[in-house]
Amino acid sequence: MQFSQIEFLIFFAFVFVAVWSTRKLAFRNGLLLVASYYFYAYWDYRFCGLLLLSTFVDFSVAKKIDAAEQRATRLRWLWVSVSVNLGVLGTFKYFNFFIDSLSPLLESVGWGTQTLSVILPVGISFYTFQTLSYTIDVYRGKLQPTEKLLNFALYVAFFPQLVAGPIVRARELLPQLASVPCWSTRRCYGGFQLFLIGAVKKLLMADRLGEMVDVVFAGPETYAGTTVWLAAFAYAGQIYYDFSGYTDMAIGAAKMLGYRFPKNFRHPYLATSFADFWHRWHMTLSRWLRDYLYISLGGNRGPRWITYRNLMLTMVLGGLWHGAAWTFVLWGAIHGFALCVERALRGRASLIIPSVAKWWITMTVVLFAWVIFRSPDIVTCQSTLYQMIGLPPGIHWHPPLVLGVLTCMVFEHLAWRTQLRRAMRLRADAWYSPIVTVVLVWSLVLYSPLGFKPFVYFQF
Amino acid sequence: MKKRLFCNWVLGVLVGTFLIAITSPLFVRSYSALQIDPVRNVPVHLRGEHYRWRSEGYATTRIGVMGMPGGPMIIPETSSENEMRVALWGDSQAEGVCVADSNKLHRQLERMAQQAGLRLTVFPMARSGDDLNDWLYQIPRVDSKLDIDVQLLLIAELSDLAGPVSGKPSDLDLPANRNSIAKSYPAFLIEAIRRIVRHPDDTPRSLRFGLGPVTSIMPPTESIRVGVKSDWKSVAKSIEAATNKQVIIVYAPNIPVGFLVGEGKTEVDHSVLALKNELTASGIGFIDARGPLRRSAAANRWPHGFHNGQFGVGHLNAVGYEVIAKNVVQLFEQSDNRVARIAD
Repeated sequence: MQFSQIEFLIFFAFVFVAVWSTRKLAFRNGLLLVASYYFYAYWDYRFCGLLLLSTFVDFSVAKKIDAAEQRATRLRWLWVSVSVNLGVLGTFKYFNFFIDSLSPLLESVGWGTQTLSVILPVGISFYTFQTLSYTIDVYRGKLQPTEKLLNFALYVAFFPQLVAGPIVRARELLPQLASVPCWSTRRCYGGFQLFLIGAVKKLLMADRLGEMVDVVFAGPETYAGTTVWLAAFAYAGQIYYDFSGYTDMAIGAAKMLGYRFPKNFRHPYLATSFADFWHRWHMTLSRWLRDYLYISLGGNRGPRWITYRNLMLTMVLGGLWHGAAWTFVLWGAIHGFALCVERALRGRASLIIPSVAKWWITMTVVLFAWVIFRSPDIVTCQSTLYQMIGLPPGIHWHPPLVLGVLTCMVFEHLAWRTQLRRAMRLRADAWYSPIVTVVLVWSLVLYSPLGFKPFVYFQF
Repeated sequence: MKKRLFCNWVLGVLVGTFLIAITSPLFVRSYSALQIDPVRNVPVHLRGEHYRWRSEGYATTRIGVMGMPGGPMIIPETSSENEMRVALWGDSQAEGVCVADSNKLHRQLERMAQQAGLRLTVFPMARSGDDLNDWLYQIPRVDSKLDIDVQLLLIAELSDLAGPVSGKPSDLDLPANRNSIAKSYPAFLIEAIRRIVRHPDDTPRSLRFGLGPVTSIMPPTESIRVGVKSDWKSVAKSIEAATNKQVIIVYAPNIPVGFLVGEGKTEVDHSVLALKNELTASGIGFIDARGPLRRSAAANRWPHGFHNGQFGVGHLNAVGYEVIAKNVVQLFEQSDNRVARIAD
């Protein structure tokens, strides 16, 4: 079930009325848990077992870690959690990728290889990271394990963030699940507005851009360089509006139910450095990678080359987290390398670059990295980059709608930097809010592309 | 305070809806009433109506007499000596509502014919969704009334010609409530409701609340690469039986990207060849417009619009009609049938 489906709106309406009709915490959480499992099973009931496995293992392991006196024992239990979670993730997401990648080598030494016939359970990358953060936080003593299995199960499976984040940490959500939230019309209105804005981003902007992106990236060699450039810009817009739209809808839905999720995006295309970009793009993933991977690897403690190694490893694994393909690895490596270069140049007084130039450099690299990210394989990636750099002749196709949406994107980013930022929140008592709200709702119904288009990040 | 807020929202809803209502003609197609035409005996748009299309093309079509999109408002009683009258049949690809009237196929045919020294009057009879049975039903009715010399059929999908021949059109009656809805409600409201209650392919929307996984059941659609097996001989015979005038069939399918980068012989090629052989054996003219359309696309003159931004699903645009018109006029020039030349 996707947030942009009519079925979800009906489902959510039922859940909304039901949870606000009860004041009993256990009943409310139980109701949300059932709704969350239904939400997941709507896609495929067979993978609910994985959610249950992850829930039971991490709930039990966290208690074991907390109860253990010795550090070695605690560490052993942590490894159990890490092994189970990453084992499941590895089996479903990476096994076939590694087998495919290693098969020439293995077959050359006489080992036959065989891939698994499995499909990727939706949201597995997200809930695996969530449950891992729980056990790691308990191990680090930053969090007391919860005694209530129901609350923990709901934390893992809570439907607004289950399939594509934001990656909410246990210490952010578990305390909220320990009591019944108070009804707030203001908060509910805020949640509705966020949900609406998210839907507009997804259906009116991302999906419109995606129509061109899908066609051009399916055969970039057919198109003229300018068309491929336009498609690259369109993809940058598509992935941002698709994912941030989803996140807005998730945060909005949770807010309407009385829960607060962390922000995930802060206009990343305004970033003037790569570090800044990662403080604005998929913020819950970047802080997860920072806190649980980069710092665990040693962070910036130690010699410079150790810091660079850690940065590269973190970003390459971050790339691999997105998908089991070499294009994602390359994408992560480019960002890792850019972060290393940036760190190496930081503080050099002789190197004073104007902000506009910094922004331009950052965005150019980000754009080329998106081309790699979007390409289904390295060969397509090469032809796309060749068309962009070599500008050979081909079909010229510059759809006005795509140009229009990209113009809107530029204005939206510029407006966010001005006083209009407050107005864009559509306060309930502002005179223009009802007009804008109604126009947006009508536009969603009338002008969204026909046909069902899944969220891009569902594949990760 | 609450009362003021409430009033503000009620007013806002009204103003917002008003804004959508006044701007919607720019973006939303029109829903117009239909009537049964006494000659053709099928539902057609009302004469003098303006029909908006707002998808791959932004055009407003003036409906002519007998529901002809962009056609004449009155029919000249008899054809003059030097005039050749052509009835253009087809589905939405030939109807051309996404193209301005001056660029519709019938107008381009007339213009090009004039440049070639021919005097042609083309009556656009195509209706969205029509196929062989609709054409066979209407052709005899129109033949004598309009004094037609040539029946020109434009097909984008072979399945539209494949039959089976039943002799009955797809719609003989006016759709229930259609006219009252079209007359009573604004187009944006009809479009909004239609989008909510129907799937993009116009089938009723069904909601699913059962658990997954769901094996997706795709409706059977004609693939551009898959041929159509049909008894082309009986198709040719049924066309012959419907009219004693000359018939020309133009095959102008959508051009997907794959065709541009070059492909080997497909099943479609075999189907088209079989059709062509049967038609020519029966004295029916056949124009395969795939080559000219493909060459036009390769030269960056794309012959189709991009319906929802997609290749291969848009209607023919002005360029496409120009390509087709050129080929049809060339055939008229070459043929030694009753083609009248403008007297010097």
